[in-house]
Amino acid sequence: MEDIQHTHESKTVLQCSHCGEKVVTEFKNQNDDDHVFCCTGCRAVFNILASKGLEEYYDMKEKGPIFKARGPIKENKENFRYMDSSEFESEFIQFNETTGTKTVRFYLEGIHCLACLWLLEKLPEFKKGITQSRLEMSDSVLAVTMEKNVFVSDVAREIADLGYPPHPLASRGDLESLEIKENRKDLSRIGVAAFCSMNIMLYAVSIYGGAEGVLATQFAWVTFVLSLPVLFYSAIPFYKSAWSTLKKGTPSIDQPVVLAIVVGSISGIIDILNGKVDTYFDSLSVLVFLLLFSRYILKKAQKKGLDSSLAGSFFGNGLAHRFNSDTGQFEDVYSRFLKVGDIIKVMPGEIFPADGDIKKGQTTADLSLISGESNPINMFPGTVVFNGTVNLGNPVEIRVSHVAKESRLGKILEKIQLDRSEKSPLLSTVDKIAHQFIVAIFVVSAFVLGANWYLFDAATAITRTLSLVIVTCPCALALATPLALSRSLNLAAKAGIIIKTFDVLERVARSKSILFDKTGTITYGTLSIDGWKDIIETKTPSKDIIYSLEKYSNHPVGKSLTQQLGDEGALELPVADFIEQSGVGVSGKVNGTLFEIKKLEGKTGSYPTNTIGLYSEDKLITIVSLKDTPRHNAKGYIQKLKKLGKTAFILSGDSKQNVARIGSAVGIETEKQFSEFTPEDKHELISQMPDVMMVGDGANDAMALQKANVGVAVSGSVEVSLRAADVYLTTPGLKPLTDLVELSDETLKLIKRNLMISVIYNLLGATLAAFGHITPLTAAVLMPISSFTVLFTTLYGTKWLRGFRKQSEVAL
Amino acid sequence: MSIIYVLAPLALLLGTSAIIAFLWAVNKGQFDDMETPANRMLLEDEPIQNETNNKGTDS
Repeated sequence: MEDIQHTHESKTVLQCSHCGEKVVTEFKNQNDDDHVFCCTGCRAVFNILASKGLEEYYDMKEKGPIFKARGPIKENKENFRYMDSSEFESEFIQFNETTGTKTVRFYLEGIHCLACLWLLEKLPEFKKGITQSRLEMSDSVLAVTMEKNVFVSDVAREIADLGYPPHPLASRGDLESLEIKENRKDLSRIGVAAFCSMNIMLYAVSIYGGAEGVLATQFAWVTFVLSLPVLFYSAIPFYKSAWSTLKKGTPSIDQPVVLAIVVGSISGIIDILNGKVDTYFDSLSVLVFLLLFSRYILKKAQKKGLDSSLAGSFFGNGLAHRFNSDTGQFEDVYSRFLKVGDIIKVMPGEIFPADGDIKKGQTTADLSLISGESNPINMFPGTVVFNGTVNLGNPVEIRVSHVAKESRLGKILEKIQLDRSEKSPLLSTVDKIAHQFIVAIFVVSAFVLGANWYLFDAATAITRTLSLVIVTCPCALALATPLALSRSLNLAAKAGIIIKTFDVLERVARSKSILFDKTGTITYGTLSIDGWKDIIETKTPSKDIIYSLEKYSNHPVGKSLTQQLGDEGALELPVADFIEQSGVGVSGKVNGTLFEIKKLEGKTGSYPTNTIGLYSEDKLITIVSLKDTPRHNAKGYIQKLKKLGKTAFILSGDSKQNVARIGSAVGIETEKQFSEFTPEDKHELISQMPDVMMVGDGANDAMALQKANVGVAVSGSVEVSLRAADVYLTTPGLKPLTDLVELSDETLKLIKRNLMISVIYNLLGATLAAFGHITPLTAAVLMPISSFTVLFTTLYGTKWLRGFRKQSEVAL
Repeated sequence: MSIIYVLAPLALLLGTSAIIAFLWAVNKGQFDDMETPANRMLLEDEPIQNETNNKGTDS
């Protein structure tokens, strides 16, 4: 550790030589002033790359495109031994007997640019025994093939050392292959529709252009034959979705589309049989192609966001130390292989891999995942521990009582999933309009049919009515909506807002109030130093003493203190005889003197909560008070949200006093502050409030996030709340939230504008059809014109959307 | 004009073979991952040892 140099005076913004993050505390290699790092993790990766002659990675990174933003790297400490067990082999490794190799697939964290691809596919060159390494960038999945005698753990460690924490993936599940099949089917449908519609247009143009006689008849038949694959293969998804929504009695935009397709085809067939040459087949097949294409784009944009939820499926699949009665020792296993009755050891800082009761040892644990209580809880032999909570104090031995789905966490996750599936899908504005569309079309058609029959004859009436139904198909709307949504989803992803489903945008725009969790959402969630008072002068600055001692502490207060003092430039001094007493404090010798840090004893005076003292030989040396502060410009952003028409509330489990302090600091009125709420209370309150958005952090909000009309998990929250939430903000602070609200508003505005254009066009079309001016030719001209108008306005966007795009491009 | 009876079917035939080729490629998984291959082709195939010899420790 000697080669670390801390410098703190630098004013210029430095970028980490490895990850490009802003450097707060500089880390450097000895005798190398050219490279600075933001953390030891990044430095370690840099050194590994340099030692292997892989510096080209950085050239590549500068030149190549960036796909995702990435943050600093955690230094790898895991050894992945569990990957060598036979249980692991049977579930995660595929053997190829003919080549004598085995293949493992890993989901890697932190894949973000071309250089990652380069580096990871070079694995066979610098790691002996690996025969092939292929990365799928879009899914962040790496498939490594190696010789049979190579230890998988070695490979995993190598990958982790490069800065990509690996998570093994079970061999290709059904779900994944289903997804691939669906993607292939979509592409095939689009391809067929594209081919057929383009060719149909060729012949249709000839017919409109004046082909006559036998040739025209033959051309008409060709358009008919070419439209068959479109109608009977490519358009199947529309029939299916229209039918299923019809059965349920819910309106959908697909219903009028299918109506137009069916009516158009039938009248086309009748026309051709009667020797008429101009038909609607050209317009219809182009329509099918464009609709399929725009929906495919939307699906892709949505999948980008969903990738992150893949990461959630590794939850709890970590490491466990299980007692092996044959060898009498603890061995590393994958926690999903634990069984009821196993004895496991959990080290400080590790997550309890299963529910169980403590057999040996006492410790403190962070139960915030289960109870929402952030203060550490003391645990003794016999105390029940829960999967997902964190051991803070000492190593303990546990007898496993519930694993995986049976554990408390497993049950919570299951409930969340169940609630999710019961959450009714939002009936989008467009679908609602579709319903009115259909009704209007039927009413107007009936009128046109009757009026024309009365004024002219049956044939004229039927032709005009048919053309009316076809021309009023809301294709422009059906086309532009997915495009508008997918564009907004992409914009959001670029800005670090991951949206799980596209209807979330509309839900956000419609929500009237926003409930904020306090800790970690409005505030930083870490305790920062509020007051510092040295009572007795010491030779060594008290700052350095506290920094050095707390550095070894697992307590959240200690961690916050270390972080902050480190940023402020405290120096680390050697510590001897360090002891952490759960619930009391820490002590240790610095420069030969014994120091103690514990809760302030006796009169606390003007320091109300969270005040600690540094003692030496029972004499108080320094008083430090800590508090959680609101995030940067929280007040400004909340003001902005209010301006956007949302009412802001605080919903917190914290004391009334603390909530009031933060509430008044960010401008949320007293009557809109809810304090001392349990997770159940939050859940209850939200179910009584319609159209509410919940913004929270941590698993104690999971139920509330799920229950709310829109759940937004802010940066830093655990996987559990990510599963429950609809939106995940990857960048900290409240700015992404205001961005999300504005983006949703603007997207909805755009969709409504398209709706207007579409309605105007349809009124025009209906009028023309009623008076018999719509022929297949006018339809072939009018329909694309309306589609392109709407497409153009969608791509052009609104003023705000254009600004937002520029801004996110700059940010990249 | 009778040339059209040769050209039109020929054009359709060519188009059909293209769409068959496309469907084949889709089912072979050529379009499963649209991101990586596009980037992979930008990378050099040179073994990394050469890089080290040429450049040494780069600054």
